[in-house]
Amino acid sequence: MDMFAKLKPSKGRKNVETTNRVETTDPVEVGSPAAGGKYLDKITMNQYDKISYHFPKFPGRVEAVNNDPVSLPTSLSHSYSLEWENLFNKPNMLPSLKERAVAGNLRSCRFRSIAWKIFLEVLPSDKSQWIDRTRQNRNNYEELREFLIVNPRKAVDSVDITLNNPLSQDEESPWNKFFQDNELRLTIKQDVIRTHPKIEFFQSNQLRNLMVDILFVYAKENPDISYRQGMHELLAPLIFVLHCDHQAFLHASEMDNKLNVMKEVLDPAFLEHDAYTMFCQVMTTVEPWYLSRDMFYLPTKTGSTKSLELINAWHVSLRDLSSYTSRWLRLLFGREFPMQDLLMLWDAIFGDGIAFGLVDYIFVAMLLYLRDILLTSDYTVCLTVLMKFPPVADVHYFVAKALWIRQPNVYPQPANYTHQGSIRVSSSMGSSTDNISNDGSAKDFRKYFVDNPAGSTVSLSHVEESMFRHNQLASSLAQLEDSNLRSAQSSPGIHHSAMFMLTPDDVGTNDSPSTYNSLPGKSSNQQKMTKMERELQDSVSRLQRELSNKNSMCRYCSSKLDVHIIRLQQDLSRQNVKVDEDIMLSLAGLKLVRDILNGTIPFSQDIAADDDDVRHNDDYSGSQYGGGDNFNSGLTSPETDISLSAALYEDNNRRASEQHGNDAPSPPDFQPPDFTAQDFEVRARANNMVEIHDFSIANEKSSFLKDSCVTNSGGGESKTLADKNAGSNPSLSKEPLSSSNLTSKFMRMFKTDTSSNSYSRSDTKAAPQQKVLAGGAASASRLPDGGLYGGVYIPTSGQCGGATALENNDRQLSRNDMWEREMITLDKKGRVRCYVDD
Amino acid sequence: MLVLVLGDLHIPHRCNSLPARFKKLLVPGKIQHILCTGNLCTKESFDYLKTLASDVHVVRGDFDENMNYPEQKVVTVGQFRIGLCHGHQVVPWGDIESLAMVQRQLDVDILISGQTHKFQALEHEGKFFLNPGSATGSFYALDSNVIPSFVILDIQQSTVVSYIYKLIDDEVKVERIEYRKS
Repeated sequence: MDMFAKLKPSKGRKNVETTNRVETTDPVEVGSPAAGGKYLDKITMNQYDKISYHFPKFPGRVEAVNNDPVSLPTSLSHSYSLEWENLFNKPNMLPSLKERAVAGNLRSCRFRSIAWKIFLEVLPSDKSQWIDRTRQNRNNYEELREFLIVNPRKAVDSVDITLNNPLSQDEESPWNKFFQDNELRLTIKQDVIRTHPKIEFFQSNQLRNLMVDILFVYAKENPDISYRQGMHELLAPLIFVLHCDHQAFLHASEMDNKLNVMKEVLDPAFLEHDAYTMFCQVMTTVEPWYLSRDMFYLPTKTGSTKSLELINAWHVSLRDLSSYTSRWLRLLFGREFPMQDLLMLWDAIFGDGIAFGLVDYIFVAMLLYLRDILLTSDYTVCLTVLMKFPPVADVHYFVAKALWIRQPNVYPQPANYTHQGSIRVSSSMGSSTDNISNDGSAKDFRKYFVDNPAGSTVSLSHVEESMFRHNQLASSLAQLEDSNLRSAQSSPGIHHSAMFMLTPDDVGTNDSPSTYNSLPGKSSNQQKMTKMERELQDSVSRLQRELSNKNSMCRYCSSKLDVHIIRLQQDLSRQNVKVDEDIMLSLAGLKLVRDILNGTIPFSQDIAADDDDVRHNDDYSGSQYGGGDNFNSGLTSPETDISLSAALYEDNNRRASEQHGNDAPSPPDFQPPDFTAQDFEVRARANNMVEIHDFSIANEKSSFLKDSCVTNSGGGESKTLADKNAGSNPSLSKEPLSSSNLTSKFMRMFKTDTSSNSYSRSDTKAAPQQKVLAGGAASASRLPDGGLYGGVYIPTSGQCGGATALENNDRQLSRNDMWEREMITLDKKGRVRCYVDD
Repeated sequence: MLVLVLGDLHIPHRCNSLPARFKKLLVPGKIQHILCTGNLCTKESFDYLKTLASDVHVVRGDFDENMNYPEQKVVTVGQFRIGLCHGHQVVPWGDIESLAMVQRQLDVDILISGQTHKFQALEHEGKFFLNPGSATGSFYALDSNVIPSFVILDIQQSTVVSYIYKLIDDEVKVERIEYRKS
């Protein structure tokens, strides 16, 4: 108690000051740089956070706030008492408070500690009992402390000197007890000292002693669990919240008189007592997680087995998980998030119910968030990620996700629900699809998130960014290690690409976590949900299941197709005869089908419309490619793509005519108004991007081809090049062109492999290449030194026109019916490379 | 804060070891500092003290092998300045006036000295003079009846509580003396 007396005045003074600073600042000014910076100490910064948080980040939140007068931003309601009234003086106080907590609306609340006390059943929901209950709890702790914290120096008169001396080893000796307790206290202290080293509030000695006392009393009171590492992390936020509220109260009470209840409940002198009571309540629920070494295998009252099932569903090694992420549960995610985020999370956990049922689901939501990293990375990376959770922009996302996982029928799906869908696919597929390390998938995925204009994915996008920075690293590592090309080929990022492409509507229109705020009304209506709605939801889930089934079927088909194609090719190459073109073309067609099944090429309804154009284009190469229709039929080139490829075609023609004096016929249909070959070439040359790439070519006719390949080895990236092309030609930029489209257009693939003429070999290497490029943005692609590409066309969207056009050009140049192949790809640094060979 | 005060062990010259009962009492982990008035004699005794607490202060007695121990030493524990001196240099041995001179010289609140092999604790001119006696109860030329004894000081802010442990008839007797800094 004497320690406490010291604590109070000094802290009070300091923090009243800081609160003053913040509270008197106009909320708008808080955001200004002048208010931030070194001037404010740590605690102030936290409060500053609190206030600035309050400004809605998402449009959705703004609406929610405005529509609901009750959830008016609390710090804007200037009166402290008014906030109190708002929160606690309502007919159905408890449900509305819980709603608020789960929705994350206690962020800037100045009575958060009281809200928590109510959630934790420290205070009854009946307000009239608050004072009595508070006093009772405090007396209780006071007695416990008196009894349990032994001070041998005070027992001088009552106990015999032979017992009461420092060296006495008698069981009864106060000194002996004192020394025994001291060991425990030292253990506790060791941990307490390391509590939140970045928050100054926890660095003072008084506070540390206070924490040690609380933990010590708890340990003595509950000898079966005593003290376990991690408890201090549970206690710290409780104390922090209590302290913040006390300071707010002290500040407010300077202005005018407060209610008696407030004075009593928010008395800073009883920080320790209140913290202890709350801590005990938290521990009653969390206790099992501390007692069992492997919590997943023991049925706990919170039903952690549920998370077990959920986790089991996706092949994560449970034992590893539980041993490394048990910390998540034991600390209630205390180490994974910064303090302010953590408080928000706890609002939801506490508000959800005293059993902390939400914890399991948050746990799963967090794992889902890490899913891609965990699946693609090796052991060490996984471990690192689990031990140090990547920073998260909006913690409330996890709450929303957790709610959705628990009750998908009641709560809206948070943004990237497709994780869930692809999980089912992968679990049902097994076999060769376990290896999902593919740049394409990651790229696709990210692209999706960045491009998706819907809801809070915008706010999440930079989280995803940071997440994928890891991912890229990891997956590129995985790729390097992946010497087995077959596996790389047959395990493309279909999961994601397919899912994203096939379910854009679901995702686009679903509710993001930001709009979740408007939920309360919805969830209260859940009972009244009509039968029709329920049926609707059922049918949605059924459709989703079907969709994923179809997906897995497609994947199965494509992988089988793949195997057979390769077998065919190997056979062909073994026969070592001049292979008939038709066979090659039908092979190409098969591969196209495979890729469509794979999802590498988006299949859309535009095909029918575009088919004519494509066929038209075919006229130029028709004589050469009898089977042209075979692969064109499945293509989905949007108009812009076609015209661009036409431009490419024209460009090549001109270049050819310039260089060789040949009369390259201009295609009548594709005459983009102001895109000329000169434009292209001059621009490229100016950027030092055009370079004739010499490639070892045995055939004499390749001297033509050699010149016609464009190699962009300079600083210019294909994307800039492409953008320029698009920009220079309005007709080409009807739609915003993504670099991936252009990349694929650049890519043409023909037979290569100078040395062996082995189709199959070159094909296996080319396949991952295809996927990388088809899969998404300008991405890393591996170029084997030998230039082993081709075997077939890469049937990528929009590239067909260009391919045939160029092909046509080649024909003009070479006047040869041989099948020339060349390929333009992007190498790792994003430069364009071109390989030509016979 | 617990401080063990002892001295005049004279191991191995006059005694083979500390009394077993004392050894049983002295366990690591309780004591923070050890102040020794000297005449440990050998390094082994010093090492034994080191096992009880890491912070051991020794001044040189007239029989110490280690000539590097200082003649006098001042240690500050809590609010107290504690002077340490074996006392064979202070004549007459154990004389309070002579010790007071040393105390003034060192400007200390508590002066701890040994040499007489007899426990003594007294306040003189507001200062505290402490002689822990001989922990082994070893032979002393001027007194045939030597009682083994040592002292534990419990230092709290401005109060020192001395616990005197004596071995009388193979029984450990404990006394308690309180000194308050004026």
